[in-house]
Amino acid sequence: MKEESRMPLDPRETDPLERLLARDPRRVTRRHFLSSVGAGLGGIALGELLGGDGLLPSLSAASPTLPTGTPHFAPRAKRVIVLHMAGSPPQHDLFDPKPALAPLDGQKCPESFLEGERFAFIKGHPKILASPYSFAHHGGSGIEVSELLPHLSGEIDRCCVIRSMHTDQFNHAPAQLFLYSGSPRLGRPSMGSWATWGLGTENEDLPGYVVLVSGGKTPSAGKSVWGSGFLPSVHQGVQCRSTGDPVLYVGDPAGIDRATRRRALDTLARLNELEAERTGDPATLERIEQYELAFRMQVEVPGVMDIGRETPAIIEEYGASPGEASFANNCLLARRLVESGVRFVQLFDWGWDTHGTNPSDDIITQLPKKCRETDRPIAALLRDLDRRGLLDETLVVWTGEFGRTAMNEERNGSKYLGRDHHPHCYTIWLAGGGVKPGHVHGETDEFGVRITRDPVHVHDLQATILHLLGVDHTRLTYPYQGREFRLTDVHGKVIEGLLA
Amino acid sequence: MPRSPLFIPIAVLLGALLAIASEEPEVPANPVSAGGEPVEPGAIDFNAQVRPILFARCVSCHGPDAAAREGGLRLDTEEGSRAALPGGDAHAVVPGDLEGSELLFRVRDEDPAFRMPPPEKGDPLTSAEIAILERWIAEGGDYAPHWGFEPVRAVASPPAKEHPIDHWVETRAREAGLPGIGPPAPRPALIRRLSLDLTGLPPTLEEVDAFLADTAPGAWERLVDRTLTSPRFGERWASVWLELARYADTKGYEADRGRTIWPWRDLLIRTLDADLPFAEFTERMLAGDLLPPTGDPEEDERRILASAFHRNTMTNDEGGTDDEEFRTAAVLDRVDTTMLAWMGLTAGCAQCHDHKYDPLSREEYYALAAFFNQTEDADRGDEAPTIPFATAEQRERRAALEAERAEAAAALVAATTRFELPPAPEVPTGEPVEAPLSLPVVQEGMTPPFAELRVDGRLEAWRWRPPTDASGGVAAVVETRGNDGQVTQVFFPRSLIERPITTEDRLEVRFWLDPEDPPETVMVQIHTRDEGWEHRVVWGEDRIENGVSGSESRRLLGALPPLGEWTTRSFTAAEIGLDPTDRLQGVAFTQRGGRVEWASLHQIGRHPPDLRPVHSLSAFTDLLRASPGAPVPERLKELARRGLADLAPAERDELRAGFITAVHPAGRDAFRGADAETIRIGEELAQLERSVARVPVMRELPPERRRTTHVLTLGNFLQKEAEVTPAVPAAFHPFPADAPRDRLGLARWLVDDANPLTDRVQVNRTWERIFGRGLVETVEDLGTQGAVPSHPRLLDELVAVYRASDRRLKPLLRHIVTSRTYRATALMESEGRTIDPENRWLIRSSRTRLPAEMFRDQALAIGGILSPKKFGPPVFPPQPPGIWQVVYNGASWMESEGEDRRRRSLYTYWRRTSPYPSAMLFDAMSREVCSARRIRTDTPLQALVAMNDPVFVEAAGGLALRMLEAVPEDRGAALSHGFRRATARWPEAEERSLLEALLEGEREILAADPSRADALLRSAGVTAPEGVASAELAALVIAAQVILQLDEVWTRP
Repeated sequence: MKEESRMPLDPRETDPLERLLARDPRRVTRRHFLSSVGAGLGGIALGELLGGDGLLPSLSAASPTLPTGTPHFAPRAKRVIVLHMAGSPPQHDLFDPKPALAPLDGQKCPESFLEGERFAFIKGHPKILASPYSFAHHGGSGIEVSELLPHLSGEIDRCCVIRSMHTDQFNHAPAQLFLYSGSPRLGRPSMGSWATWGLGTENEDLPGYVVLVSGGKTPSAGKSVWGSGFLPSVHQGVQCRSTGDPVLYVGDPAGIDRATRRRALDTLARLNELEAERTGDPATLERIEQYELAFRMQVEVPGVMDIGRETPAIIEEYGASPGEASFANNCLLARRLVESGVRFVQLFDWGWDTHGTNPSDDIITQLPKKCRETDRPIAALLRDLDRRGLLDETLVVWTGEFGRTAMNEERNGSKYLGRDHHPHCYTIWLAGGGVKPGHVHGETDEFGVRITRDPVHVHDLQATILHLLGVDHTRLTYPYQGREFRLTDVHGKVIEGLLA
Repeated sequence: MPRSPLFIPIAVLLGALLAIASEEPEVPANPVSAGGEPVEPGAIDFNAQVRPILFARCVSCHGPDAAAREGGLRLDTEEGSRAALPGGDAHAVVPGDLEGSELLFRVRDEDPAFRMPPPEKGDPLTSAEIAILERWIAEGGDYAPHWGFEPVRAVASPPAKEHPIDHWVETRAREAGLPGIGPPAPRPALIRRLSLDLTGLPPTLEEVDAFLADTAPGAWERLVDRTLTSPRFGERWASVWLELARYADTKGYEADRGRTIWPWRDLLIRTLDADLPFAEFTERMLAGDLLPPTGDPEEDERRILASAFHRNTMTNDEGGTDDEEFRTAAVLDRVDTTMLAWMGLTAGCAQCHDHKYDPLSREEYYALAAFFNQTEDADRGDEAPTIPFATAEQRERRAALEAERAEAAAALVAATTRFELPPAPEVPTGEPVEAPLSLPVVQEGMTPPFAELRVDGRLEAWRWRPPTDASGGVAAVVETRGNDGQVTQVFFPRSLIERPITTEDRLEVRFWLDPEDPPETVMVQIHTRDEGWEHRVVWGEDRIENGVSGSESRRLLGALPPLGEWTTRSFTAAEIGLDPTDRLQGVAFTQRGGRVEWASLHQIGRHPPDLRPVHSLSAFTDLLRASPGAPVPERLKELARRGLADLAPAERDELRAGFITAVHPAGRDAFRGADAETIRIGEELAQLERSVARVPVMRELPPERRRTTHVLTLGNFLQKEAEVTPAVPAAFHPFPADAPRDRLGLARWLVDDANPLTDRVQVNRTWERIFGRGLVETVEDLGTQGAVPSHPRLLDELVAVYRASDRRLKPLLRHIVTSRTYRATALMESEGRTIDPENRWLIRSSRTRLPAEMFRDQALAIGGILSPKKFGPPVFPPQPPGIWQVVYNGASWMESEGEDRRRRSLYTYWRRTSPYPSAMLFDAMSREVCSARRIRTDTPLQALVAMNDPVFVEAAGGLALRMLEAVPEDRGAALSHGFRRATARWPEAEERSLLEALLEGEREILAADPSRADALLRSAGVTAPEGVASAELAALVIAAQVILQLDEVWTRP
C-alpha cells in the first residue's frame, strides 16, 4: 500500500495553473488533468484515472469550497467498508433487547404505536411480537447482543453500537438511495463516489470504489446505490464479482494470451504515437496510457480478487469458500481490497427483509440463517483487520436501510413471524477508523418504537462518516444544474458522541 | 515503451498555460458581453463580470427565495439592491457612491464577524472581485437582465458571401487574439466527420470513393444533402432524445419490471427522419392526446402514441408503496423534464423552496405541475391508460384475416343465394314474445358445464363448500382468498355453453365478505368471444389495475357492500359493453386481499323472441325491426331497419343469408357448419388482438374527475398547502391568450416566438452534439447559473435560421455543416492550441471521443456486421453473464440471435436499474430522470471494453474476414483496406508496415499453436474460408482489433 504523501492544503495556495484549469469543474475531462501534471505523462496513474485525485477541481472565486484532493483535516479513517444487510435486519432480535415486549407478546399493540403511522403491509390492529431470542451482556463493555450473533458477541468491544438511527424512508429502494446518496430519488452520487471524488484512491492499479454483492440479488435500488450521479462516471462504484470476470471485460477473449496482447498493444501504442504526432492532441497519449493501465489491471484485479491466495487458516476463520459467491468470501475480499488501498468497499447481502409471510422471510428460519451466513465472517473481518493494523484506519459500518416494527406483520393471516418496515428507529454499528469502541449510543423506548435519546439521522451518519475521512460534509460540494450539491443536501451534523 | 516526441510540445503548452495563469485575474480577462460586443476597457459588463459574483456569492441568501432571505436584503434585482435596509437608512448599493454603499463596506470588512459572506458561507471576496464591484457601483451599479431571458434579437447580416457562422466565429477569435479559422480537414476526415455527426455511423467505402471522385464545385453541399436524407439520420438524433425523455424498457424502482414503450421510440425515429417542425413535435410529445382528431385514424393514433413521451416516467410496483406518492413523483418529474429539455431550466429546485437563482417560485412550480396533474395514469402496475399498438406484421396479418373473413362471408352469401326457400307454412302472426328469464351462469353447487376452473392460473377442481354464514339461504359457496396487495382470481375461461345476451339484460351476483378479513376490492369479470375479458365491474377501492377505470373494461360501482351478510348486486350488460352479438363464454371472480364466498351469478332479463315460427324473409325482417333484443348480429338488424325495399341486391342477399343460415329451419339444416371458417378466422383475429402490445399514453381525466393541485411541502404528496391552478412563471412571456389551459396550451407557450429560451436551448444542444461543447457550455442550464455564451450573436443567428426553417433540425444542421468552421481541421498545430487549449474559439474542429452508441455502432459497421434493421422491440446483444440480478424479478437477459445481436445501440434493451454495461462505461445515463448532458470521461475500463467486449471482438472478426475477402492475395493491401474502412483514409507507409509486422509475427506464432488460432476465431465468431489457414485469419483478427482500437477510431476526426 502506498503512503499518502500529500498534506492538507489551503486551497488558496494551490498552483495557479490548476486553478485556471479547474475553474469550471463541470468541464473537467482527462485532457485538463493531463495538462495539469507538471511532471509530464509519467505522472498519470491508474488510480487517478479510476477515481483518483487528479480529477479534483480546486477552487474558483465563485466556489471557494470545492475539495482540494486532500482531506480538509486529519482523517481518522482512510478507508471504509460498508456491510449492508439489504432488506433491513430487525433490531429487536439482534441489538436492541426489549424485555417489556415479552408479557405483551401476541396482544394487540397499544394505540400509540399506530397514531399517524402508515405501514407498508400491516393492516388492522397488529399484535406485539416479542423477540424469541435471548440476549446476554458481552465483553468488557457489557453490550447486549442476541444469541443469534455468537461470533460478533466476542468482538463487540470493538463496536460502537447506535441504537438511535432513524430515516425518512420506509420502502427499500428509496431508503437505500437515501442512505447512500442523501436523496430518496435517483440521480445523486453515492457516498463512495463522493469519497473517491474528494479523496482519490491509494492504489494506482485498482478502482477506488468497489462493490461486492451476495445473496443472489442486487439491492432494491439497483446499481444506483453505487452510482456516481452527476459526478464524473469514473467515480461510480465498480462491481467486482466473485464468479466470472472479477471486473467486467477484464478477461481476454479465448485465443488471446498475455504475450499476444502485449505485442498488439505495442503496435497500437506506436500507431497512436504517430497519430499524436500528426494531430498534436495530448488526449491520444492518454489513450495509450489507458490501454497500458487496463493491461496492468488485467493482471492486478484478478490477483486481488483471488481469495485462494489466502492461507487455509484465514479461509477457515472467515468460513470462506474460494470459487463461490458468498458473503464470507466478500468479507475476505473486502479486507484484501482495503489492504490494497481501495478507498471505499460496499458489501450488499440480500435476504434480510423478514416480513414473516413464509419460512423464507421469517424471523424463525430465515433470520437465523442470515445470521449464520454473516456472523462468523464479520467477526473474522474485524479481527483480521485488527491483526494487520488496518482496523484503526478502516471504518467498518454494519447497517440496513431502516428498522422493523415491534409488531408481528401477520400478512393475510400468516402464521409465520415477521416484522414490517419501521423508519423511526433502528440499530447499526460502526467499528475501527476513529469511532468509540465498546460503546452504545442512543436509546429507544421500552418497546423499541421511538427514540428517547441522542437520535442519529441518516444525514448525520453521512456527515460523521465523511468527518472520519477528514472531510467537512458542508464543503464537499459539486456544482450541478445551477447549485452546489452535497451528500448531506442541506442537513446533517457530525455526531461527536460517536468519535473516539 | 518509447515515449512520444510530443513531450516537448506539451511542455511548451504547459509553459504557455502557466504564463497565462499567472496573469489571470479571478474573473474573465476578456469578458464576453451579453450583447456579444467586446467590452470597452473601463466599462463594466454586468452579466459577464458582476452577475457571476453576486449570484455565486450573495444571492443564495439575498435572492428570490423569500424564505431563505437574510437581513431583508435582495441582491438579485436592482430594486432590491437600492432598497433601504431594515432598521436604518443604509442601502446596499448607492449608485456612484463607493462610501455610501453598504455592500462594499461589508465585503471589505476586516472583521469576520461583520464581513460578507459570513465565514461559514465561504471565503472572503478576492481583491479582484471587490475591485469589480467597486467599478460597477462607481459606474452607476446598473443591472442587466440575464442574457438568456432576454428576447432573441435580430442579428445584423454579415457581409455577403460570408457564411454567418464563419463571420461570427472569426470575429470572436480575433477578439481573443487568435488567427482565423484553420484550413479545412482532409476530405476523408471530412466525410467521416460528417457521417458520424449526422447519422452516427461511419461512411461506407463506396460513399468515400464517390465523394473523393466528385471534384466539381458544390461537392460538399451535395454530400451534405445526401447525408441528411440518410435513413440512419433519425436513429442518430433519436439517441439524443431518448436520454432527454428518460426512455427505458423497464419501469424503474425496485423490481424494475418490463414496459412496452418501444413503439414510442420508433415513432420518435420516424418523426426525426421526417424532420417535423419543432412546434408540432412539441405539441405531439407533450399533448398529442389533446390534439383535435384529424379524420385519419392512423394519424390520430400516432399523435396519441407521441404523448407517451411523458409516460417514460418511472412506475413503482414495489409492495406496500402508495400509488399516489409515485404518481405525484411522476407528475413532478414531467415538470422537471419539460423545463429542462425545452427551456434549459432546472425547475426541480422549486419543489422545496423558491428557486434560489432563477425566477421560479414554489407556487409557480406547482402551477406548472397543475398542467400535468390531470392525466389518468396513476402509478398502476398495468400502466393504464394504454393503447394497442400493432406492429407492421400484425397489421398485415389483421388485414389478411379480415379479407379472408369477408371472402368467407361472401362465399356463404353466394351459397345461400342458390338456396330455394320453401313456401312459408301458415303460422299465426302477432307481436313477438320476450318472456322473462333468469338463467344461472354460475349456480350454487353446480360445476358450470365444460368449465375449466383456474385459480391464479392454476388448474383446480371447482370446489363447493358450505357457507360460513347460512343466514342468506345459501347452501354452497366457492370460497376465494386474496393475497395481500395482489390480485387473486378464480375463473373459468372456456365454458362451451355460449349464452346470448341483450343489452337490456342484467347480471346478478351473490356473495359474502368476511368481516374479519375483508378484501379491498371485489370484481366480476365476463368473458366474451370477441372482446375476451374486457368487461369488468368493481366494488370497493379502485385498486385492480386491469382495463381502463371508468369504462366498460372497469366499471366502478361504488363501495363494498356490508361485511358479514349475503349481498346481491347487479349490473346491466350495457354497462360493461356487452352487445347482442356477444356470446357470454366465461366469468371470473376477482379480489384484492381478504376472503370472499361466492354463491351464484344469474343472467336476468327477457328471453329473446322465439324465432322458430319465422319462415319468410319478410317476417324475419319485421321481427328484427320490432325486437331489438333478437339474438342476431347488429348488422342484420341494421339492414332490417332500413326495410327490404330499400336494400341494394347485395345487401338483400346478405340479410337473406343471415336469415337462412341462422334462423330458417331448413336453411339451418342445410348450412350447418358452413360458418365454421368465419368463426375460425374470428377466433384468430381475437387472438391476434390480444397479442398486440399495449403502450402507456397520456389521457386527460374527464371533467368530473379532475384533481385539484396543491403546493406540496418538500414535494411530499401528503403535505398539501395552498391550491394552485395551471399557470406559467410570471417572469416569462404570457400564456397565449387563445390557448387552452392544459398541456396543449403549455406546449404552445413553450414554442411561442416570445419564449427566449426554447429555441436557444434546442440550437445550443444541436451545436453541442456536433462540436462536443455548446456555445453555452452548460447545455443543461441556460438560467442565471448557467455559463455565459461564448458566441452570443452566433447563438441568436442560429436561432433565426432555425425559426426561418420552421424550426426543423435538418436545415439547421445543413447551415452548420456548410460553414468553414465545421470543415476546419482538427489538427492542433496552430498557435491557437496554446492560447485556446479547450477550443472555445472554434478555429479548429473538436477532436472528441465518440459517445457510447456511436463507438459501438461504428465498430459493428467497420466490421461489416451491423444489422441495418430499423424499428421493433428492443434486442439483447451479448452482455457478460450475471449482470441482471434484480430483486423480486427473475427476468434474465436472453441473448438475441441472428442479426438482433448486432443492431444499432439504441435498440438495446434498456433496464434502468441495470443498464447495458458497456454503454454505462462510456458515460451513458441510466435514464431514471431527464439528462441533457453527458460529462465525457476517459478511463481504462473503456479500454477493457474495446479489447474484450464480445461485441468488439466480433467486430474485429468481421473486419478480418472483410479484409481477406477484399484483397485475398495481398495481406498488406488487405490491411490498408481494413484501415480505410475504419478511418476513411489510406494508412501512411509506416502505419501499414507496423500492422504488417504484427500480422506476420502473429501468423507465425499462431501457426505453431493451431488450437489457440481456432479459439480466437470462435471468440470472433468467424471461420476461415476454404483454403485459408486458421492462423492466417486469426492473425488478421488480431490486426483488426488493433485497427478498431486506434485512437483515431475512438475520436471524431
